[in-house]
Amino acid sequence: MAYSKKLSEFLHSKGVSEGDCIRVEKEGVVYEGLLMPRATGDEDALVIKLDSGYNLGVSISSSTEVKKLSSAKRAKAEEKHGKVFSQKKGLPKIALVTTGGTIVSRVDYSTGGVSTLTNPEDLIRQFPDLLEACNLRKIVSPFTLMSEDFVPRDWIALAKTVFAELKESDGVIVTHGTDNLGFSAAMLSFMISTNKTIALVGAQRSPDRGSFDGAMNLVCAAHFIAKGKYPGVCLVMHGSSSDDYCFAHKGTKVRKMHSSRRDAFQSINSLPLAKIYLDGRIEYKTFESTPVEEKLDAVFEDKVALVKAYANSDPEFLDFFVEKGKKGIIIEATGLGHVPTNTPKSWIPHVKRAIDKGVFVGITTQTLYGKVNPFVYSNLRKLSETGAVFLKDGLPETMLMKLGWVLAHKWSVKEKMLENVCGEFNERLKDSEFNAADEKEY
Amino acid sequence: MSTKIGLEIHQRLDTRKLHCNCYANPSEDKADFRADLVLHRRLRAVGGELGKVDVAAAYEAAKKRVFEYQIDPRYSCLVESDETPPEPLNQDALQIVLGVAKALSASVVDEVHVMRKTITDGSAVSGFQRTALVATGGLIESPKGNVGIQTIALEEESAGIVEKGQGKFVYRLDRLGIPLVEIATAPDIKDGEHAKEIAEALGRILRESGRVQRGLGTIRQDLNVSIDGGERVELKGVQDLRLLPKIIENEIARQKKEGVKKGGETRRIIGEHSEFMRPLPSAARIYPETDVPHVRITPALLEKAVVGEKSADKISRLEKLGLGRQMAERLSQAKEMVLFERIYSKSNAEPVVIASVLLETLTSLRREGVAVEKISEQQLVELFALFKEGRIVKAALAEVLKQLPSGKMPEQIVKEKELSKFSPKELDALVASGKSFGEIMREYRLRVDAAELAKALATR
Repeated sequence: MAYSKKLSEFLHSKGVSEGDCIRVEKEGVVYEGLLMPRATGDEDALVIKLDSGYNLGVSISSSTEVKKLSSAKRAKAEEKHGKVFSQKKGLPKIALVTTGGTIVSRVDYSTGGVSTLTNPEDLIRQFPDLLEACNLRKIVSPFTLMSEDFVPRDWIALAKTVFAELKESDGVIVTHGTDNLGFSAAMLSFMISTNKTIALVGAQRSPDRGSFDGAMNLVCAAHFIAKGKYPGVCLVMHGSSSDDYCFAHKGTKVRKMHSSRRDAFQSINSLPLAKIYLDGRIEYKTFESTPVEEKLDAVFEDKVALVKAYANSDPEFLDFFVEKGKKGIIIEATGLGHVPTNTPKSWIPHVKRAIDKGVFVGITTQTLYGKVNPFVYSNLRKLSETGAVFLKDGLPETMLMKLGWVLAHKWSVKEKMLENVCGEFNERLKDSEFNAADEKEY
Repeated sequence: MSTKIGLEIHQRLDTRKLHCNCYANPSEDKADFRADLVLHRRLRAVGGELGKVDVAAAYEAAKKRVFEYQIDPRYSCLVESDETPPEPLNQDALQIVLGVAKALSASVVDEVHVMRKTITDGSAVSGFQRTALVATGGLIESPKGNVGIQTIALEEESAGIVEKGQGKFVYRLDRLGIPLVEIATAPDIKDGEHAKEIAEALGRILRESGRVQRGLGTIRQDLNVSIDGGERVELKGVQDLRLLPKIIENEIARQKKEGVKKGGETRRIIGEHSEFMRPLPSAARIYPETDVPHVRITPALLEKAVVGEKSADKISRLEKLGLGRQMAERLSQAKEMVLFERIYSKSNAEPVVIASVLLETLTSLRREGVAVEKISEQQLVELFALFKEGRIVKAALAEVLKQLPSGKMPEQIVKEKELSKFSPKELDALVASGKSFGEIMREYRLRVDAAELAKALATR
């Protein structure tokens, strides 16, 4: 959005452009300041930045006088910092892969909006602390996307970039928008098999503010690569609302559980992998490292879908996806895996029809916590009898990513979907893994 | 020598917070902070809108401090904790500020833009204070000379600091985000006495809105002083208006002797003197708050502006309600005025009785140790409704008031403590018993109206 055509023409006639210092007089009131671009709001009103720093809007009427006082002064280019990637002994070699999102965003002072930092130098100026925790080998930016805009092409490109950087590095940090970060964490977990650490990191507060949370996430990710020696994909974000420590979460067991808090990411049906303090201390580890073969397997079958079933939901969703040629569908069912059953809107015949047409149907639960089970109730057995596969404690999103990956191979889909490929299933659900609200008493 | 003196007044508004639905009035309700409900945060120096790291921000952040924030969930939410985006600008607060602008003949802007003012001393959890310019220009009249108004802004109150030093900085979140109106005068003030007069006049206009918080800390005055065209010094936190002349005198003397640091200084007032806090913030400190929409000031919105009643009008209105001159004057200036109006409009009880209970009875009960701060408006309204309906006598009001801090409603207290007024039948029975006026009043003072008793005795 910018100024209206009428206002733009008016400004043009006065020889005024954005950034100029102007004087506006309207009904006896005078404002002097910089003409700012408009991002939102009334497009027939000028945005003026006063000397005090305040912005205000002045709507233009026939009696308004606008006069240019001086032309726009370009802000001096900021001083280039010295050598950015100085190498220190004893620190891990890390490649930083940036993909976009809040963590690499900045307030664009020319538009007032939020845009993405693409220049590696700007980026490192944003996080100078990172250089104290690692030797930054390289910054690679295969693309710049908000996480909701990712498509399979991007996951594949990301996996290839990360795998290529792993060769020369002790680990790779991936910066990423947080909304769909869980999807990418799961995707990379299936596509890459490695003994090194791939840490995904995001931010919930933008870097323009003093309370930016991403720097600590990055530093903790670097510490985890150096000292955690976790083989595979993890996500490192704030462990609480405080800037005290981060948790590393397994890439297949993590989910964004809050729209805005710093500690939005939580391990579901598993404990975090480790607790990492800003000073590099790692308090506990819940994993063991078993050597694996270094392998990239970046393929994805796009004909998959995730559907939510609930009381009175329309089972024709399924028919739609089958007609669209989907090869696999994950149903986010209720509780232990229920879909509407003894009702005119029963999903059972529709699930059966999909499976008869060769479509894989997997059952997960929208409770997220706990396992699905095909035996406890007769309605569950009816669903199970259609051939739908109950996917244990797998997170719906993780199962969707896994299904796309599995379907891109010539494997037995059911067998592979039930195999624990990279920790997507927890064979022993423990008491401590469910967040007890009474511990917090907020 | 040319001395320039300007005032900045910050007054808390009695509304919900500026960018969330919390309400807090720390001068009335003390928050209860628990050791396990705290946040620890670090703040970074950041670039301002013009791409520079602000001098003041860099100075604070360089200290690499960890801030602790105490939470009482009754008075703050995820907005204050900087864990969720702010709500749009509080319209209620805006309408009050529009009214203040009107009272000062200031020009309201066409569109209000909320800005972020970078603050990294920890008093804003986000690292910035939200602030919006609402009006410019205007005038405050005073006998010693009129003073121009430069700006009227609406902004967030900061978090209150409770502990500082030894690398530890503890703040409380109840205060953070309470709307403040900030009025900055032009440097037209002639001297300390004039400054005092202007501060009092501005305070009066703010109180006249009837929508400002009252009590300790709810209004703050800052001073701007420069001499001989030199750099500006901002002196924060005048505690007592009576000290203004002395503070100004001392500051002028100090500037003459010590000079002023390049770029200006922000200093904290301590008694009649001041100490250096940080360099004066620059415009680089302010950039747009992109999470909330701009507010177009429409004629409809201007009509809703909360226009305060002039003190003189208020006093004469109270006198018409039957209050004596002295009580009317006292009530018109008191924080109880708003409560008085609400109780009167809801209960329709005798205004003099309401006023004397609010101004006198409650004060003396507080001195006796009754926890009057726990008495709710709803309880008071019900109490005066009972009185209006003739179900209790005036003398019983104080007795019921004493019990109200328990949380019980007045009707229940009246029942339990047997305070209901005698019915005409009961009164007749008393009169028939042959007891004298004095005897009856001594025994049943809390249940008998003296005038009614006198009348009943006379007609016997």
